[in-house]
Amino acid sequence: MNHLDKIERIVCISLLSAIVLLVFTAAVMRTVGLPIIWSVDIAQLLFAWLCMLGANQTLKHAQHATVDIATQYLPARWQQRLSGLASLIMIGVLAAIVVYGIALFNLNPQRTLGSTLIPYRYVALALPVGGGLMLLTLLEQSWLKWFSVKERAAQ
Amino acid sequence: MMMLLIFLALLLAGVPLAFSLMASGLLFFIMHDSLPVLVAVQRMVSSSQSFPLLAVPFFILAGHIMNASGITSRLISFANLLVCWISGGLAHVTIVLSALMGGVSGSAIADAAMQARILGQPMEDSGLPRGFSAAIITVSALITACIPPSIGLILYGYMGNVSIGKLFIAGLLPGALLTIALMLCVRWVASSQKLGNTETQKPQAFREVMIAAGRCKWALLFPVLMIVTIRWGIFTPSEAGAFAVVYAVLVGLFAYRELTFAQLYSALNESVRDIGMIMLIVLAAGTVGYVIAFQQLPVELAQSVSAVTQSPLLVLMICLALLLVIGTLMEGTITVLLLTPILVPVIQSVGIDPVHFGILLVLVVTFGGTTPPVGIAMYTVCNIMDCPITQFIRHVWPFYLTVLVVLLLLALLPELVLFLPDYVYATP
Repeated sequence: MNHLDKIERIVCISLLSAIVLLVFTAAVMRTVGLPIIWSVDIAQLLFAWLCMLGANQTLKHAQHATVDIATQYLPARWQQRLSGLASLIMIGVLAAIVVYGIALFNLNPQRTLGSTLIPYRYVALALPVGGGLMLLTLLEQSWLKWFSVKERAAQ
Repeated sequence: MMMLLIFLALLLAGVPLAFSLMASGLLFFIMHDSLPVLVAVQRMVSSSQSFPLLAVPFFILAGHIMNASGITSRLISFANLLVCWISGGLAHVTIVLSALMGGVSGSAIADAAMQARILGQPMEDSGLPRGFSAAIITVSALITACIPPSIGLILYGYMGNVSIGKLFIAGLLPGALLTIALMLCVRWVASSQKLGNTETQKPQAFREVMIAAGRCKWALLFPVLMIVTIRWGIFTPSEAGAFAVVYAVLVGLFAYRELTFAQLYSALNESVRDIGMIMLIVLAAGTVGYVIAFQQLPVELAQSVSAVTQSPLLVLMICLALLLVIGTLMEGTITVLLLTPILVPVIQSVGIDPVHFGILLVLVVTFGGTTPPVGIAMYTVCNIMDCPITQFIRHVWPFYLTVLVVLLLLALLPELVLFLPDYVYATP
């Protein structure tokens, strides 16, 4: 799990750097009169992946924006139950994204990305892969939480 | 309606914003047989495939790198020299700093957090009450939200099909107006309540100020470069974002020699998490936006509003009041993403300029983030400064009033907002 996280982090950072360089080079080359037509298409392809993989990084650090005006006043036991329910709902949403994301990937293999020969489906693929990774993160987090609750109960 | 209820229920139950949106959007598709669920997923993918949207990750990353490359710290010492002697002392520094940082960083909340961390303690040491310091740091974040580059303006332009370049230029004058108004307010409060000790401070000689400005010329030059390149079509706003990142790295490496590889790595790493948070919300909003359009909500709303009144001013006021209420209850990004496509057709149907409305919308929504009950900027700053909300509220009301007066002025006088973009974009 740790290795996977490290790889993912490095992939995200490379994606972000690559997007910056692609767009910057394209802008500079166009200004000097040598436009690169494919660079923006590639940048957008990479951006879809950055969004989904980055969202998993955010999830790992529990930094997704959450509203706690209602839940903060509940007793601890209810807070625990609600957060379990929230995890279940998130797992459901992600499972749907993985299933339908794969269907989308298989829908139209002929369509290509803008000016390139790269199939559009590789943009769509970011969705089930990112969703699947987030699903793994959530399952791991829930497992750990469940375990610690049980352990405390045993003591 | 159903979707809204489900969304709110999930949100209040503690499901993260992005997931609440996705869950309610997906449920709507599943319950309607005429809508294939594949479209919902397809909309999420296609939301990411927009070139203007690329400006968002770029300006987030640029902000992080500017902090690491020494640009931010130089701007702080410059702001300090410039206004520290005015009654109210460091409170003016945070206002001017927001205006200067507004020109390089896109995120109001990140900016407020940074200022709370760096200026919070010195402000208290200089004799300003903690609640007062927290209040002015939070409210001055509004200036950042309005001076380009601003993530809020980018998202508004993306959702409402409005020129981001024009929005950027339109934000300059209101940002300056807010800066001056807040400084006057701080001066008045500080001198009437004898806050902070500035007796020993004197205005700096012009020469000193120019020397300090020279030390941060690279940072001060950047907003000028950005506006010029965008206006004359050398760069689009997204390309200017990529340029900002490269510029910040180069200045940090070669001009200031402060940026290390490890810092660059952690700036990238933190940006990835910020981008993941904000972009998952944008993707989820793609699905919900489709549902809103499918139900023809904007058209219906525009029709029912124009049936009630044709007065642009009245419509504008109704929209702003609505935004103010929703903005205080809801997180800012999501308000911009969901309400822009609904409200822009409404205001356009009575002849209000969408650029004018965009500046007001972003300001009102960001203002909502500085007020209870769901003020993310307020909570962030109070958390960092360890300031009780009650103290914050006791000191914040003069600033709220100032902001509301400025907002009213901007709403009543569209020329204040539109003068600059109309002048700059006038065909020669």
